[in-house]
Amino acid sequence: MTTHKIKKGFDLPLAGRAEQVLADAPEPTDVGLETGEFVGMKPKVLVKEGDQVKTGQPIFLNKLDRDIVWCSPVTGKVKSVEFGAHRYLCRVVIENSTKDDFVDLAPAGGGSGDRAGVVKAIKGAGLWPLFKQRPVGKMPMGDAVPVAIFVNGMDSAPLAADPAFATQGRKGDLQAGIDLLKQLTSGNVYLSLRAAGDHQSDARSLNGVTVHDFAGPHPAGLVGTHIAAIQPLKTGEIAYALSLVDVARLGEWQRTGKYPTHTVVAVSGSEAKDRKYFRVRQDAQIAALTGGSAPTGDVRVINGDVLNGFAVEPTAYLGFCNKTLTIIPEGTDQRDLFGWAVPQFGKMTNHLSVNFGLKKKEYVADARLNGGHRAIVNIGTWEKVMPLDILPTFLVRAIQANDIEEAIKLGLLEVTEEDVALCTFVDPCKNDVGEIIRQGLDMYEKEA
Amino acid sequence: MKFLRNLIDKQRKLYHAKDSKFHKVWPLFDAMETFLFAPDFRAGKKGVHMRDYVDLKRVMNSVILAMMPCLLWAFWNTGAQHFAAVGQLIADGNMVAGDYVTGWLQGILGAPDLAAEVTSASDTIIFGLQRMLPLVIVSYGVGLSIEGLFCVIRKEEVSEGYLVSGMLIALIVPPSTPLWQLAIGVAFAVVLGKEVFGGTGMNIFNPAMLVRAFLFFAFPAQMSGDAVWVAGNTSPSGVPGNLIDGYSEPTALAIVKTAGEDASTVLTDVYSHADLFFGHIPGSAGEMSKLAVLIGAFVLLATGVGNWRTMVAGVIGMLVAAFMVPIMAEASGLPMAGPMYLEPWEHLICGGFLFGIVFMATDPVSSPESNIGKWIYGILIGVITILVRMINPAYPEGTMLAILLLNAFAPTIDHFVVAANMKRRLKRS
Repeated sequence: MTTHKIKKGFDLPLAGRAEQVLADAPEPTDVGLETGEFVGMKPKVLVKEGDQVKTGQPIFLNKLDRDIVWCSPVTGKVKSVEFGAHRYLCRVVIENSTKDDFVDLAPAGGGSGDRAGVVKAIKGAGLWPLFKQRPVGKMPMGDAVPVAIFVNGMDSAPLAADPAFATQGRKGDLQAGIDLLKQLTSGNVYLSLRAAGDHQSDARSLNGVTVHDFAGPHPAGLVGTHIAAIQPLKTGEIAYALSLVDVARLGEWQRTGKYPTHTVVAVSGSEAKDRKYFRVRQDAQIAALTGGSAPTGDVRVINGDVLNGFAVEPTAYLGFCNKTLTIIPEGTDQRDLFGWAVPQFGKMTNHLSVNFGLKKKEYVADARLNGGHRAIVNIGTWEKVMPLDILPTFLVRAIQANDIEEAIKLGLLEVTEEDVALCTFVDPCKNDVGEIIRQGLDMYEKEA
Repeated sequence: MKFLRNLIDKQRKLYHAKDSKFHKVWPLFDAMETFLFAPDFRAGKKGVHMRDYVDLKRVMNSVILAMMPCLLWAFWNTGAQHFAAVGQLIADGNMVAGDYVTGWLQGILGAPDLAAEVTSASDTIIFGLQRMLPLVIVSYGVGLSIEGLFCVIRKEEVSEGYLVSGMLIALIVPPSTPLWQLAIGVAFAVVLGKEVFGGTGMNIFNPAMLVRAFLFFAFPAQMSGDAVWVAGNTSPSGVPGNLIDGYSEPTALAIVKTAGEDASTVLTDVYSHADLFFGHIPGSAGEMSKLAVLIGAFVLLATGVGNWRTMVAGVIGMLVAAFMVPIMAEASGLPMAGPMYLEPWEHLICGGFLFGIVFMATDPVSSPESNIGKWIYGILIGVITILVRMINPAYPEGTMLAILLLNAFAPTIDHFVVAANMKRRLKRS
């Protein structure tokens, strides 16, 4: 076991941490399978409105790889199939009868070394979208064999769910999941855990994984940081990444042959009322986690955390990969008089110029930009929160100049938008660094 | 507050929409509005949902706050130097108290009492304001007008960059500078030094330094840097600008330039070390008080806006060069000059180097962006300043030239740092 100390970074001192209590959320009236989370995917819907579907039955597939499907987490009637522009499938809503009638999803053959077979089985079980491929940070496509699989057993993002806590007591599922992962890679399966963290006894006793400990502020708990510290990828190499919670989901399917219908989601954020961990139906209505009714008022509901997530309608559904649901104030029409000049002691910042030394205190912050967009004026803020050996301003400039070759030389393939989220947060010029990085990655994908 | 908000919202309608009456000047309205109220932007639906409270306005504001000690001291010391010079002229019999011509502010607030043994504080400050305020107003007025014009043409938000440049300019030109010269200099620097490159964040040279350089080369009579600048009210024939007629004294560095082995003593005969450090000397606002500059440096570092690497590197570079260059010159048989006999630390409190390295060299746009680059950049500024001071026969001061030169080389310095980063990455794979 190795401990990596991350020095550069920033932990947003936000109010509204989820209490470490696991409760059962009520059964949602319906579930929604959304496509928006999987950028670049070409969905083809397999059901019609009014169809009766079983738990584990494929609902839509990815036309780019027809083996990859998304399965229904409930048994019930298809309530609606919603399309967006160009008849792009947006979501399929299914009524929840609460009684599960499982489709038999054959588990992968154990330990045969038949990688293709294992991949096909995972895809068929609707669990392939749990994987993220590095570089690029999207669902893995193609036949490239990953040189390593990085399982993330920690999450340092603000108010994010702790995967170690969420998988407590599921050692059997975790071990089955790890055994499955070992068949997918030619190299190691790494497990990253917070140094001296709680609730890790199950995770630390797993066989077949190499455990690495990480200490320090965010982004100490991001897979990009882990890869850079453990085994940086060489040109042409790929790796898979997934969360420990998702390993448990894989393991559950592998052990039972049934679709894992429930997952654990932490509800956090200053505007959330009941802040704790919930065992909840996959793709459930958000209302299931907020006391039965959708959150109201001037709030922003985020599938994910405040540094990496999707803002959704309060009436929408949890995302497929969600581990955290964050509810923060939106901040509509709140405009501070002389906000740029007056000392602000109640505002969250990483800069010293606002409140002269951030006190140990938890802040309620909203979704305002707190300024106008400007050209990059680099006063060293990005570098302070970038622990990777990357020069973020030069990388961004290379992408903006469409110089993809230079960008790759500068480490474009080592990051995704979540790795530079803190740069976006601290930037006084309010640039969306993640968006620029994604543009660069898109360019790379197009050229590759 | 509510009243103000409502008033602005009402006005907003006239400017905001594409087909509204005054939409052409929307950037100007937006600049005024966001000056009062933080803009109403919220994070996008994807990615980062929360942003730091700091925006570019506050960053720039911090720099302006850091410059305040220099400006306040200039209000005082410009007056003090003026009355000291006038007193000297009267004592020497070169001037009659009755001939004193009052300036615009003195005309409003009352003429100074020249007969008094000690000039009163109010007289001193009134003269200081009388000289300094027009500089600040012209610098901001001309610069912001041009910036505003370009933003209207480009249809983009007015950036805050000039708020700092404008103040810097007022602090680095001599208080005796004629306003028309200043206006031309500002226009030149903002248009050709900044806007042609695309505005704030895009310029290669520090705009304020360009103003100084422009004035230096375009109007050398007033700006040569070796005659001292004691501001007066009149502009008599034969005396350029608003210098006091018949009164001139060399600057600290000019004294040293013409001195020999005894440079230190020759210098302290005129200006004591304390005078140089606390700022009881004539000159541009920024070069007067080193104490005020150090307070400013503290503010910049405490707010995290200025980069300590550039400042420390600059001071180290200067001290090392000031120590090494005389030794090397002696060894190689170069002619020795006065500045070579000055103690290295005396170079720090002479001239505008401290102000330059604290406020001008740390400009995030025109300096290298990598941290290693900042070290190299700072050290080279220190070294080149000393080289100009010691070896160049014409100019007593080299800070301005050193910073402008290194501005030009900043991308080159960065290039090597970036190349090293790429090499490390290549090695890994």
